[in-house]
Amino acid sequence: MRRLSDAGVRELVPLLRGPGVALDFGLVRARVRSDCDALAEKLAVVYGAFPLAAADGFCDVTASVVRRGGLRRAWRPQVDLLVDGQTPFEPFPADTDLPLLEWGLNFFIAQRAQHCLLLHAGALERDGAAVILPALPGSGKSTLTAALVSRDWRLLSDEFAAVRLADSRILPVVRPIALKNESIDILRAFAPDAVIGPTFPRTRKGAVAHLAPDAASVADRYLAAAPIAVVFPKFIAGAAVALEPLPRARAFAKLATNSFNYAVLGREGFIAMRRLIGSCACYRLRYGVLADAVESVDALHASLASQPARAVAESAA
Amino acid sequence: MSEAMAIRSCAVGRFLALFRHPRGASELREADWDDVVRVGRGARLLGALAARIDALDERPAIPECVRAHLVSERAVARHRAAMAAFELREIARTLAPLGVPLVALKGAAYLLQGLPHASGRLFADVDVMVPRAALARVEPALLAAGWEMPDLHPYDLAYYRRWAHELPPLRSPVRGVEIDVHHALLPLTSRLQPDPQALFARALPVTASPYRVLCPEDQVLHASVQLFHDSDCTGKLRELADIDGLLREFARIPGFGLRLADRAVELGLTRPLWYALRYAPPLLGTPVDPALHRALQAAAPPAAAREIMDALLARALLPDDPDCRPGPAERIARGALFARSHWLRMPPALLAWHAAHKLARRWTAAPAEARPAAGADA
Repeated sequence: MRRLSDAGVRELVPLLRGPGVALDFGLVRARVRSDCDALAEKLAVVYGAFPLAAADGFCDVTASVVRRGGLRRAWRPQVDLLVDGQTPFEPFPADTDLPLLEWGLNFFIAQRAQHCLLLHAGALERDGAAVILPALPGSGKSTLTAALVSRDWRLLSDEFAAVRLADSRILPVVRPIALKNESIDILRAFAPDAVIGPTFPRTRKGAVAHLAPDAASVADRYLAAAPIAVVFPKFIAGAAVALEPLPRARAFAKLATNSFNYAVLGREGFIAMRRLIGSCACYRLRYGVLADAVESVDALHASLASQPARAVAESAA
Repeated sequence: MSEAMAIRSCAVGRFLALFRHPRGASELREADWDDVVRVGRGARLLGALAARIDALDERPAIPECVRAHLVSERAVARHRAAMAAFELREIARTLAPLGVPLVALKGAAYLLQGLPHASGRLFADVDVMVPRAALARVEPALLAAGWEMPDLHPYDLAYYRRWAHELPPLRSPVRGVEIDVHHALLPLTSRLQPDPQALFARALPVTASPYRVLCPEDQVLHASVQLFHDSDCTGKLRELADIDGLLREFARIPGFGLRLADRAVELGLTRPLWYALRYAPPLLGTPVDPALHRALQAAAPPAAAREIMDALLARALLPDDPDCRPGPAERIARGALFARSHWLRMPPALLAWHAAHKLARRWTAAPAEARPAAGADA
């Protein structure tokens, strides 16, 4: 199987201009088209480990990054994101084509995947047991997720923990991890081998760069994982690392309010959330140093994974 | 495929074919489904299609990846319907002390009656109707109960007050559902003027509900008038699907066709009904009583007008092809239909006055209706 990183720009550009490149994240398969040839090179980096395929058959989202015409093109070129013929966002400067595509894809995944309970959270798996890292403001969720991936955790998702309604297992949505501002350098220092795409210095959220998912996570993108822990991270500059148990009822409420579609799913959402929380130990993690947080999650996972499942369910009740 | 209307996009044709014959679902390849799902979502009819497929006696084989979209759209539709039902209860509770007759219109009425086409239907806003004389009590009661009126330009507010058939849209800041309180079906300036009293007189109670609904004939007429008299028709296939759903359901009532024709004559709404019957059967497979067709012959527009409408609607009413942006022909057709809807909505002098106001504002004001910025927040 060939990957996007094997394909040169010469191979990607005609695909992007024609039928589209298929990007398969696991839960969602996107068709990406573009007439910005510069995008090809960036896609080859941040989606390097993804299988190279033309976007035929069925795709869940069709997104086109299209250059805008008009006089403006000469002095301030812009790009539009077209999704199934609609233009849902304001145009972006042409040199931020990849962030526009990434945000757009996230937006549409959140809107369309209502057959799962979508938590706004990072999710990682090791030895068949998954840990959920919900994203509350200032959590440093993406940085911590990226750091864990660099320490051999399997990436399930950075943005959406997609909970299958039938059994509350986590379905992977393997996508590049968007690192912002200081996180970019922090992660470079923590994981010098990590493959990170170009930095876009001036987006609406400041500087953004995308960590490329690793080959193993991409290969396992159809493999659901059973959750064993929910850890609410909180980055506090200078704080010592501290992992405290969180009552399940609190964790339930925090997760529900942080979900994209808990209310939409009604009863089904409640049942899936209850089963999820019931199978997880819940914690709050405060940290000031990334390496400490990684070590803490590693240790928690090791201790939970060694217990029989029922003991896990009762340990934090 | 359709005598009345040329369907240019294969993707749109594929969607319509499946909407007419949901049994065909098991024969589609994944690439066909790609078209169907994209067109269906764009037309906001994917949930309705899913409901039609789910209603089949025999479940067709559908690829798992496609089924996820159908399940997803139905979940959204169910949630919106639950929100609408809650809003309806709140409105009724708030207005109960006033003793005002309350009529649910459109989606709200379909929901309360449990009509088959209400399932999977994507709710937009909640429409109710009260007698015009009661507005002076209804509006303060709703405002006092927490619904809010948006900050409107003074001209728009004055427009609503003098000429519109409804209050400015109200919204509960907590729930965000928009409610439209009507006192008539069409603006007071419109060429057609169905008498609201005649509508109230024939409205029917709904079991276990404080609401009444328009009688079946009036429901069809309202949907037809709304689409073919008071709108620009652009992207409104979904409203034609409402007419289709009503006609399918009410076809069970013996003699419905002729009663509908009589009522259309009585209320002066034969032309919009004629258009509904011209386009719904070929596009959506709507069954129509031949007697109704015959009874409406006299309401047909002149042949030239008919051909122009066919050509315009082919470029406006149908959903866009998901891979093509509307071209110049589409833009011209939509502009013409927009002009037509305004021409029918107000007399020429008022139209000139209204257009002058709107243009003046467009030149002086900053661009309104900004789209959200991507990444502004998740």
